[in-house]
Amino acid sequence: MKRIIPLFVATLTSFFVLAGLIWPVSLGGYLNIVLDWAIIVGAMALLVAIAHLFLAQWRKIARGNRSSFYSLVFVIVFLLSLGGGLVMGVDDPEYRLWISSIQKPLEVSLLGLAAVVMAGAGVQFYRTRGWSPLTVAFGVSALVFLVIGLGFLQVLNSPPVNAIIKTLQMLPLIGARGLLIGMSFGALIVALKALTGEGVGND
Amino acid sequence: MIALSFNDIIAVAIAILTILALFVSWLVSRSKVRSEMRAIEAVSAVEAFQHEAAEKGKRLLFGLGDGLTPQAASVNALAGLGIWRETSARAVFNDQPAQAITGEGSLALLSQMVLRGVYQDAVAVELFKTEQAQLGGLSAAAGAAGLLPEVNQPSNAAVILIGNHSPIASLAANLAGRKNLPLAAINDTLTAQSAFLISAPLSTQGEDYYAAQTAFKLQSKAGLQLRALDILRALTVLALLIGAVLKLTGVIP
Amino acid sequence: MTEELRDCPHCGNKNLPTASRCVHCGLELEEFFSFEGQNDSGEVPLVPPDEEEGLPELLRDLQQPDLGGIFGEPKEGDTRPIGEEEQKIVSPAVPEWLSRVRERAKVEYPSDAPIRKTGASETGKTDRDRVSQEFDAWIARLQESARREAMLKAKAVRSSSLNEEGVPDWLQRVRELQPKPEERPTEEVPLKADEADEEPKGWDSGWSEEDLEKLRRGEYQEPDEPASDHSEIEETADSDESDLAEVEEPLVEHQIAELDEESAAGDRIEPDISVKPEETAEVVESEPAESECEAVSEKKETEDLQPDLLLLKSQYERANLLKQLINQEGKASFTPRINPPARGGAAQIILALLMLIGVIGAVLIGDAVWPRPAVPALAAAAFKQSLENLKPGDKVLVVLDYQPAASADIEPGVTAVFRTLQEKKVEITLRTTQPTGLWLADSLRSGSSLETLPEPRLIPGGLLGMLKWAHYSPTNPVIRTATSDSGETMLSLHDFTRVLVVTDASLSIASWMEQVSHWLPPNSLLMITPSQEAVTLSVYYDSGQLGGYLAGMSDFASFDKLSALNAQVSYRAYQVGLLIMIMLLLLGFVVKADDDANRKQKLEAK
Repeated sequence: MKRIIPLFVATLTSFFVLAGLIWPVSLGGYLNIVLDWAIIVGAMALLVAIAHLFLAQWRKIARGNRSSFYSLVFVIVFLLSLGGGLVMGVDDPEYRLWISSIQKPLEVSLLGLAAVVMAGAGVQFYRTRGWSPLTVAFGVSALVFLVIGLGFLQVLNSPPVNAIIKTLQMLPLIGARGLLIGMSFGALIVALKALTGEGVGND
Repeated sequence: MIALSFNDIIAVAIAILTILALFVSWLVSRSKVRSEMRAIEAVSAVEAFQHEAAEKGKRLLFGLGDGLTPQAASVNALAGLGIWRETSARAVFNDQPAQAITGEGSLALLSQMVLRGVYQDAVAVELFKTEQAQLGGLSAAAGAAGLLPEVNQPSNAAVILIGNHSPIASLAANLAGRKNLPLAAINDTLTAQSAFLISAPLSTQGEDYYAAQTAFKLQSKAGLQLRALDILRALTVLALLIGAVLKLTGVIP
Repeated sequence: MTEELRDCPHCGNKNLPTASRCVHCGLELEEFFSFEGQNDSGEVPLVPPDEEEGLPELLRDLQQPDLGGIFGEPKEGDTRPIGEEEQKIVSPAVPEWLSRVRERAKVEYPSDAPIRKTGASETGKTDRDRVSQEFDAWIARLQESARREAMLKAKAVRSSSLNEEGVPDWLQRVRELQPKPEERPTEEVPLKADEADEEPKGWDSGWSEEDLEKLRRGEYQEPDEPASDHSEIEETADSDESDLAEVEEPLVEHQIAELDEESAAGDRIEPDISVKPEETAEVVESEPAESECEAVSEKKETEDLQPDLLLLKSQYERANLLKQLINQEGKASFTPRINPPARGGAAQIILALLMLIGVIGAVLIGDAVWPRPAVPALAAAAFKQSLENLKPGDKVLVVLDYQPAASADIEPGVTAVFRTLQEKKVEITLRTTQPTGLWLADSLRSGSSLETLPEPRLIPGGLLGMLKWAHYSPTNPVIRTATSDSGETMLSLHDFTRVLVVTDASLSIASWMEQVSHWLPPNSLLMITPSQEAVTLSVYYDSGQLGGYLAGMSDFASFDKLSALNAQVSYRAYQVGLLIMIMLLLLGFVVKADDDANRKQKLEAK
């Protein structure tokens, strides 16, 4: 019985949202209310998850784990950010400058690090995966498109070369489109399962 | 009722076709016809990792991604929850239970909810700890950054990244490689699949993401879903071929 | 057969050697309880165990006394649970099989009432806990012995965790576990037509009704084997050596009874069981519980015997896990690492330094101008044309939906577009779906001299908020009363001439296209993304759902305003990065080819 109620609510909500999308004039207003509820629930879930994360790090500090120093850093920064936001307000340009000055370089450097890591992985790629049609095709196509990306061929300004480059640049779009079609079918099926309440870990 | 554009009509037709394909797949499953599934390395590795974690007395680490963000709601994250549930059920009485890190609040709570259900089914609710399913961070980069320290733990037997990850999560793959940790990456977006193709030793491509639910061979409904996918793919190929012929012959302007 | 039967110490009748209870008087035959090949030393065997070893105890423990259901007609030699108070009285005039049938009927249907599910009693719960504990203890013993064996093996394992080819050990083992094409397992669970409405089963029987019936009667014949008398039960040595997972025969089909622990009095579940001939099962006695629950009986099975086994779903899963563990034994398995050497981090550091030096050098030395493409991409041209068609006073909604990580990638294009919009003197409304957009807009404003950009406002709920906005209509009375926007008139999305979304994630693009785009006027939605999302966007552009997009610097370069911003993005550094990537890929080719050649030489030398 406990499991039926959430399932029933989820299914009913999903069908109502669908109905609201199909008949927006008559049901659109009520759909907005339901969306408001969803936004509130999502925001509360986020708050709960953040609080839980904070508590988990706090417990690590209390237990004195090996990584408790980093948990301490997390807790201090978290409290500073939270306190600053509450006191100064999110609209304060100084607060925003402070946050963006830390967050932006951190995230950009993470992405740069990922680029370096992937470049290094290129050396290990064949040793790890061996020779196979997929790996050989990947390697060859990557080389071709990297060379095209360099721009040296475009400088030649030769119409046949430009035509070949244009054709080659269409190939990944074609291949990716096939993958996207398959992915979208899969997402559709998963969504149908979710619509009937079979989604969340229930198979 | 809303006015449907041509694209909308096609979308509705595809949805109806999908339902029909599921029905046909269900009918086929009820017959005695047996079909074999293509073995996908990354998917079968999930089961092998689970065995190893049990034997070694270590834990299995899951990165569930951030597919349920308000910015980008996608039901694909739910496929990862199915695997999380199956693995957790097998790890209830292990030396160390499975651990999940998510990049989004709703997904973190859902994974906790699923885990609690697993422990309830095993009549071992006292063993449930909320720390087993945690939030790693609030953005894609923060979630990946929150995953890295967990990958670095010595108590990991293997790492499974399943769900929607950003290419930054390839850092986790690199770290796992340097620690000689087995890692399987099962992702649903093209950019993540491309990143993990090169950085992770085991990864899935394309719609193999949906085959992850067959990892433990107990979920016949996942096979039903995959068969429906195959039917839809066959229909798509047929439609493309017919469209190409019609275009070449000038029927379609 | 006669010589294999044993006498009951109580009534003196003959019983199967594997029976735990006498089929005639129902009393226990514990002293006669034995299995061929059972390891009496108590140690868990490291080789794939016989099906009898360890299973009888497990299967007995898995028996649920509060659940009944005995299926099929009892075969000769079958034992069934008979309560202490129910002593079987054998009439010499009644055939033995008939008396067993009657006894079983009494047990199953004490008052000729329909079968009812029995719920889990406290006793059952305790038994389940005990069963779980014993099972876990047994699994732990198995694991310990396997670990001991692995430790012994690991001493001979080479210290490097990589093999000669550079493939990690664990990856090689995973590949070895992959089934060969001829060994691929089937995934089907063929269901019978009469089971259409029943609970889904996890076992594949593959038995037809006819065959099942014959099997129950003992008249089933293997296609190439001589008919066996149903009264003779053959125990072959092969059954001792068969591995559950390796047998290609149809598996036992069980109907898994799921107990609802919260229901006080459940119904007895009547599973439908078919049999796998090679599988052995143990006759398990059960004592009837104090409640109305009935005992489940199991019997040790030779290849022709039929098990009566009712499993809970959790027990079924545990049994399957056990089966998988048994299956893994003798096959390639993971060996533990002993002092694994740290993988060389020096190579990665050198590589990273190389890239940094190259890129930084290119930024400092090289030319920064990003070349304009001779022929811009169609989508980029459409984007530009769409902006060209704007008139002064038109309303443009710009939604920032990207993470700070992608800011370096996207902001040059965003800045160029903002400059164009400002020159067009359109009315820009700036929104963001994530809190980070607030300070990203600030950095856009300050870093690119776009001081006249409006203040960004957060849309609560992200995409859900956008979806809500898409449905917003000021004339709708429900919406008017339910929503308010601090007094100011809220614009509907339809009031905007263009909606420009700046995003960096595939999922976000898909969500925008699927949830919001078709509520907007046609071709009014434009996007700015990093270059890797061009593939995803092209699909939507070609289908007419997107008015145009800019993906990456090569598209941004088609804007005139980009030239002033080139200092932020160095084309030379980009080229150096690409060159390094090309070199590394080629290096990967060469290293792998070299490894293969060396291995080949070594093999030839051997």
